[in-house]
Amino acid sequence: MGDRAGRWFHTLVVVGTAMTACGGSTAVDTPSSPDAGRTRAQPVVGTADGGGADGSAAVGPDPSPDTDASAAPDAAAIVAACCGPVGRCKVDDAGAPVCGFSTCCEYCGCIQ
Amino acid sequence: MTRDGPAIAAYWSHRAASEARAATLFERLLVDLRRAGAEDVVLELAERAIADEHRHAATCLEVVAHYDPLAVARDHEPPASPEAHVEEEPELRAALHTAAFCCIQESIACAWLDGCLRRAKESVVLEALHAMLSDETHHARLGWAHMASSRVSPATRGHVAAALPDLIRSCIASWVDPEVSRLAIDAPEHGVPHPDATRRLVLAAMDEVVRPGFASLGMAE
Repeated sequence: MGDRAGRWFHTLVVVGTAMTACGGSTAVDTPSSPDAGRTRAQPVVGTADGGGADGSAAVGPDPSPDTDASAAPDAAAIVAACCGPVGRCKVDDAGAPVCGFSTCCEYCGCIQ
Repeated sequence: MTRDGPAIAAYWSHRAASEARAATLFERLLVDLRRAGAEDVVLELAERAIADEHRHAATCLEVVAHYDPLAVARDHEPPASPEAHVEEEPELRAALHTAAFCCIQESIACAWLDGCLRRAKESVVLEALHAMLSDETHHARLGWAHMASSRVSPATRGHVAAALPDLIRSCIASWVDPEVSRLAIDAPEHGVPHPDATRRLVLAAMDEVVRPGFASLGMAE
């Protein structure tokens, strides 16, 4: 599966666990995931090449299983924004994915 | 039309039965989830999944009809599903079944359908695979959503974690079932992958999606 596994991890596990944001530990990416190190509470708005909007790398803070208290709003936003694999990424006026992930089709699971 | 039409139809006929069986499983799962006090979003997804799986069965039969119109007349009664974990408390039973049906089986199904979709060429197959993949994604999320919710107690998570090796083993076995493999004639352009390709996709999904998923919830095997 290679890099596609990371996409499915996000599409299924990260988005799924975010649906019940209060539950369990913070879902942290596995090392094989394309944006490893980012927590589901920390979507990154960035550029199509995977970098942050300010040019920084598209990674979040160090994972901390005890910092999930602030996760709910962002997690809910991910779920609400994720279009799912229907082949239609939701994008803003600038063409950026509204889910907050840096490259929509890599992370939200759109089947193009 | 390919000369392998009847064989392809037989494979898709088997899949139709599998989808119908999945609808039955989700009906039972919905009952368990309600008894377990699952969150609304989980219940809504389970309700949707029942209708989805019935629709998938019909979709698969459309593919069957495309390849072998006479095959549609055959019996597609879903096989009886085993009553597993009936002795468990509702919360644990719901968690075990959700872990097996959704977190494991539906996650694998997504990766497998994705692999099939990338190799398919026949339009009726492409449409069927795409439609099913769109829905199966929600079914897998159902599992991860429930497993991460506060409605699954730490003790239950521990029981599920302890059961994971057996659950994973049985789920893998269902994907590499010799009976199914016998039907797979290696016609990926028609949505019939070679058994070796299926095995690779299943094991990769297990190692790169399912196991990391449970581990992210503190439920490592």
